[in-house]
Amino acid sequence: MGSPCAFKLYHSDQSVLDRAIKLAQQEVVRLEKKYSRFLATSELSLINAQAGLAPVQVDNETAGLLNYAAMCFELSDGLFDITSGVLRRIWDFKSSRLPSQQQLDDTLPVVGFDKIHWDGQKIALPNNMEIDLGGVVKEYAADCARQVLLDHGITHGLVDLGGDICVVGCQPNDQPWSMGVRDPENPNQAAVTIPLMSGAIATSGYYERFMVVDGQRYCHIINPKTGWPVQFCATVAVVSSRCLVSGSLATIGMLKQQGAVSWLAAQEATFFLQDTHGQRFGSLSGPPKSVQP
Amino acid sequence: MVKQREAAVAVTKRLNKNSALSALTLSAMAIPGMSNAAVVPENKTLSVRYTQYQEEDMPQERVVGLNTQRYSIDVLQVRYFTPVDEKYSLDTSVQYETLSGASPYDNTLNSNGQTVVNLSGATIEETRVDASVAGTRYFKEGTLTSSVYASKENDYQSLGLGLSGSLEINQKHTTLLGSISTSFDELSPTPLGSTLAGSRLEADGQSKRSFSVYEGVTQVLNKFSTLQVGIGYTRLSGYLSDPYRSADRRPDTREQTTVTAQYRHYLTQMGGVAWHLDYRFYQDDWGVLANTFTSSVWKDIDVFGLHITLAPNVRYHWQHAADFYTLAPTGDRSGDYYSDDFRLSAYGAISVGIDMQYHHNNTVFNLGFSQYNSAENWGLSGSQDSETPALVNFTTLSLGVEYHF
Repeated sequence: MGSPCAFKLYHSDQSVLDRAIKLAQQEVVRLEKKYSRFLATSELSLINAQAGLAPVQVDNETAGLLNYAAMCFELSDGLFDITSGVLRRIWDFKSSRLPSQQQLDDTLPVVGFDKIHWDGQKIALPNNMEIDLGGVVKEYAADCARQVLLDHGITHGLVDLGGDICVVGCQPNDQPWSMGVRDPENPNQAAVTIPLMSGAIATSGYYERFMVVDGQRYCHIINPKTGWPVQFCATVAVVSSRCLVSGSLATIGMLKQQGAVSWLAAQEATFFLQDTHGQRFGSLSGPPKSVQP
Repeated sequence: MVKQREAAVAVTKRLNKNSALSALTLSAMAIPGMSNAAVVPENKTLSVRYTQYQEEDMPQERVVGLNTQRYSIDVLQVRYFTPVDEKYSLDTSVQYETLSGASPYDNTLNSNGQTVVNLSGATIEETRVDASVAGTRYFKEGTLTSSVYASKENDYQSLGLGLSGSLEINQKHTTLLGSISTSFDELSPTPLGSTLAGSRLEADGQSKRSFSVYEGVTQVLNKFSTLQVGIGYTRLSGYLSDPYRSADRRPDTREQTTVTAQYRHYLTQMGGVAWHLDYRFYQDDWGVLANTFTSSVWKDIDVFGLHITLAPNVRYHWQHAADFYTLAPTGDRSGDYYSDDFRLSAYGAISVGIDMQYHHNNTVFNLGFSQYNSAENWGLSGSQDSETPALVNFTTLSLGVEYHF
C-alpha cells in the first residue's frame, strides 16, 4: 500500500491468529493489486487505459467504490474528486517549483468527476482523463481487513494501514486503544490522544507530502477546482464506524479549508482539526475521552 | 475495568439522516467487502411472462388422415423474488400451461413406399400447473440454495427437490458450483378407447425417478472474459417409454452425461458488446450423442431516446440416434427395445432468435422471438438408415414484464 501496515491482534489460539493474519494480509494485497495505479494490469489501470475509447463494465466491488466516490463528490460540492490525480503531474513536491498558470490551465479541463460517465455498471472516461482511487482504497482495505479478522474469530486487535486505523476489538484487558493524532508541527509527537473502543480513525494532514516555496507551504491535497493546494487546515482526524468514511470526511475537511469546522460540525462528525496557526477545533480536541463512533 | 469504561465519556450521536456522515456510512456499507454477508440482492422482483410455443403443421403428404396440426402451447408464468432479512432470499414461481393439438403416435408406409406419420386423432386439450419455491442463504464467500418443485397435469405428476451451492475462492476470481437434485414422477395416462389403450393401461400408475448431480467452476479469465465449465450426470429410472406411442419400448434406466462450457466476453469495441458462447456435449447409454452450440450478442442501443438491449442469438444442435431408434413398420419390429420418437433420431437443428429488453425506471419489458427448424441432413455425423418424418419446426414468442421494487 506504499505505507507501513501493521496488525495488532490477540487470540489465545496461535493457529487462529496465523490464519486470520494470513487472510487479512491477502485481502489487503488483493485490493492493492486491483486498484493500484502503478500496476499496468490492475483493474484501475484497465479503466484508465480505456479513456476516450470505450466504457468499461466493472464488478460489484468497483461499482460500490465508484458509487461511494460519486457520493463524496456530491456531498463535498465537487471538492472530493477521484479524477484530480492528474494534477499530481504538474505538482512535483520534490522540485520546490510551482507549476505555471499555463500548466494549470491545460490540466484543469481534464479534472471533474461530473465529466465522466458512470451509470452504476459501466464507466467511460473522456480522453486524457483518469481516476485514482488512492483516496479511498487504503481506508477501504483497512475496513475489509477488519471484516476478515472478525470473520475468523479475532475479537481483540487493530488494523493500521499507514495511519488509517480500524479497531477490530478493544484491548485484551478490555481497555480502549490509545490513538495518537500526529502533531502537524512536530510529527514525532501526538497532538491529541484518543481512546478508541471500536470504529476507525483516519487522519489527513499537510505534513504528509509538501514543499515550501518562498516561505509558503504547499501540501499534497489539491483543490480540484483551482488546481492549487489547500491552506488553512494543518490536520484533520475523524472517528466513525468505518475507516473509509473517516478517511473521506478528513480529506473533505482539508479541502473545505476555512469552511471545514462548520461543515464537519454540520455533518455531526466526531473530529479533531488543527489549523495552520495551531488553533484546535472539534469534539476530540478537548481532554481525552473514550470514543464510540 | 468496567468502572473505567463507565467513566469514559461515550460520544454517541443519533445519526442525522441528512448528514454526510450517515450518507457516506450507508454508501460505504453497500460495498461488498464491508459486510460479512455475500451481496444479497436488495430489491424485490415481480415478473409476469407469457410464452407462445407453436409447432408448424406437418406436410399433408407425410400424414395419414387430414389433420396436420401439431402442438400449440401457451405458458403463463408469475415469479416473485424477495430478499429476507440480510442473508436470505426467497424465489417463488407459478406456471400455468395449456396445450392443444396432436402428436405423432405411429408411422406407416404409404402407397409410394414413403413413411407417413399417424397424428393422434382427437385434438388433445390439456392443462398443466407447476409451482416452485427456492430459498437461498448468502454467505461471504458463497450461497446455498434449496428448492422444491411440483407439477400436475391430468396424466402426469412430478415432485422435485434440489440443493445447490456456490463458493468463491481465489480472491473471488474462481467460483465453484455444485448441485444435486432428484424427482419423483407418476404417470396416469388417460385410457381412451383407441389403439393406444394397451400401452396407456400398462403405463398407468407407473413411476419415474431421476437423480442429478452437477459440478462446475467459473473462472474470471481477465477483465473482459469469464469461462464456466461443468460436468453433469443424470440417472433416470422407472417407466421411460412413451405411453402415447403405439410401439415404444425403452430401457427402464437411462444414464446421461453432459459437459458444458460457457464463455462470456465483453468487447469494448462498438461502445461495448457482450458476447456469449455456450457449448454442450451430451451422451447417454441409449446411444444418443449430441453437440449444441449457442451464441448470442448483447448490445445496448438508443432508439428515439429509448434505451434498449438487443440480443440476437443462434443455436445449432446435432445428434446421433439412440441405438433402438427405428421406423420399422408394425409387425416387423425386432430387438428388445424400439421407438420411433423423432427426439431419439439423428438430426440437426438450427434456431435463430432475438431477445429485446427495454428498461424504464424500475420496470423491464422483455420481448423474445425464435424460430427452430430441424432436418435429418443437418446432422454432421451419425445419420441412420431410417428416415425421420416427424421432425418438428416451431416458433416461440414471449412477452414479459419485470418490476423491481
